[in-house]
Amino acid sequence: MAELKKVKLTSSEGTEFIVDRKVAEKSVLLKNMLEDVGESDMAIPLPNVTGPILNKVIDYCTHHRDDPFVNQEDDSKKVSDDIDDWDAEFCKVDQGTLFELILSANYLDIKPLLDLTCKTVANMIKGKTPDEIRKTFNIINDFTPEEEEHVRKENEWCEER
Amino acid sequence: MPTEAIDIIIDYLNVKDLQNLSQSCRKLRRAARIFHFGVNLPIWKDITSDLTVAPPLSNYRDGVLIDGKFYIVILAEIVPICWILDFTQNTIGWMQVPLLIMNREEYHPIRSTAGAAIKNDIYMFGGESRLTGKPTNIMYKLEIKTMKLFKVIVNGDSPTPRLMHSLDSVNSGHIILFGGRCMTHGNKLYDTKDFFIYSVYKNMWIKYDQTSSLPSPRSLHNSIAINGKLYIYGGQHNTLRSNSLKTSIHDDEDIWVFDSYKNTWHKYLAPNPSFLCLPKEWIPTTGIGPGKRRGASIFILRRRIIILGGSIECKNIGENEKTGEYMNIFCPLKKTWRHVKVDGMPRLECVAIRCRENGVFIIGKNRDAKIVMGWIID
Repeated sequence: MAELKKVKLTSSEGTEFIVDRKVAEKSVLLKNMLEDVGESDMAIPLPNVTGPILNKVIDYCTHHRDDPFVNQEDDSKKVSDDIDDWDAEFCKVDQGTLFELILSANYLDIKPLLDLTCKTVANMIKGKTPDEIRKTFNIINDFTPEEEEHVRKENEWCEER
Repeated sequence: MPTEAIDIIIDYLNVKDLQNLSQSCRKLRRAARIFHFGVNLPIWKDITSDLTVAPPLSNYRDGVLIDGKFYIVILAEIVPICWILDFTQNTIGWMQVPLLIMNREEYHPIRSTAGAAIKNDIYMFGGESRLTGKPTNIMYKLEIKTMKLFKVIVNGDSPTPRLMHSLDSVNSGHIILFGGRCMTHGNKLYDTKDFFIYSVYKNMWIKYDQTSSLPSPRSLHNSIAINGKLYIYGGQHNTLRSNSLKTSIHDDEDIWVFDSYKNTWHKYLAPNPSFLCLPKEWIPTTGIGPGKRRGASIFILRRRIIILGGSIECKNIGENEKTGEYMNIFCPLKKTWRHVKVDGMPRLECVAIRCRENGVFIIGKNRDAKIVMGWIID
């Protein structure tokens, strides 16, 4: 029996997307579902992913469809300045979209996309003071003045006792 | 934001950026600290007086955890007793249950005996005879469902009589014995690096090949077995070379690991900047290690190895006091040592019991030789 080449996905608003099975299988969640279900032309509902985000995710998976699987479970020092041009352009989105992409990559279990988006957020943190970090991500400072003073003086980070 | 994603982001930051992130808000402080140190802000909560009674001082290291209950068996002269602390209850308190001796004529009281659990049975080996004061190699089994105490007659030879050794259960059905203090016919005490594995199926002790790499001889060391791996750290030594009875804290600062699936040893070397060509089973580490200790506790928390308490060699008493408050946390993935203060923690020789979600119960003795019990709350 010939293998089905296309897969239907439905976003949270009910928008239908038709993608190559190979593209969909970049998601470990979808790959496992497709293996369990077998051949079917039923749409797979993705209630946690909106249409615009699913569109971006499909763009990413299409571009990286032929990338080999890379096991990232190692103890090497992680570097965040190795993002290629296409990926860097892909991540030039507003912060809301970037965080939605992180949530979707986590839900769909697309490790390279999760890694790329997290790396982008890490690059937004690097070199910033606590106050600059708060401003960048709109974080509310919930420390009391005493706590803030205490936290600033914490010396455990310096590896000295 | 899922925890996994926060951890990935944090993994790309250096220590300075991570520290800055930890100063932005409470939630990120917790995430950054748990990622970097393995703990957030641990504090010591002493519950010694809440528990009203305490097991005998000589037995505090002998406990065994089974299904959320902690058992310490006291092989007293007249009636052996099992002390039980039930961590599954909100309010904990010691229960004392007399044991039913299955063969009274063969019963031999022992002052302190190491124990390990296999399913619902506690196996005990060795210790100091209450009748002769000498080391023994008697083995007992306690069925905790019935509180019946059996003397175990093994097939083949038993390890020589000893005390202050370690027993750890691995691979559901095997117990590893390591080290301990033995006595010569001339009544001289010496520490060993004996390594035996007891198979409950064969009811037999098998001595491990001593020609391969083993930790050096020691007693009163610390050990823990998890996921088929046995970790050994610290202890004391007293060799036959010395006529002095003085026991000193062991020189070995490394953490030794026995992989029971591969049947191999490796060790995490204490941090030292001058490492050059090392055998592949010697793994260098960075940071500040726990140094030389005896009677410390070793436990696993969030995939890290933690060394806490114990007696250390130090130049002045102030240093000793200060070190008692710190958890020494080793991350095998990054091969780094970190330190976090446990607020209010006294200096103890102790053991740690991981009995609740990230809850650590500590039982030990302080410098006044009094039993102390409490929680490390994070």
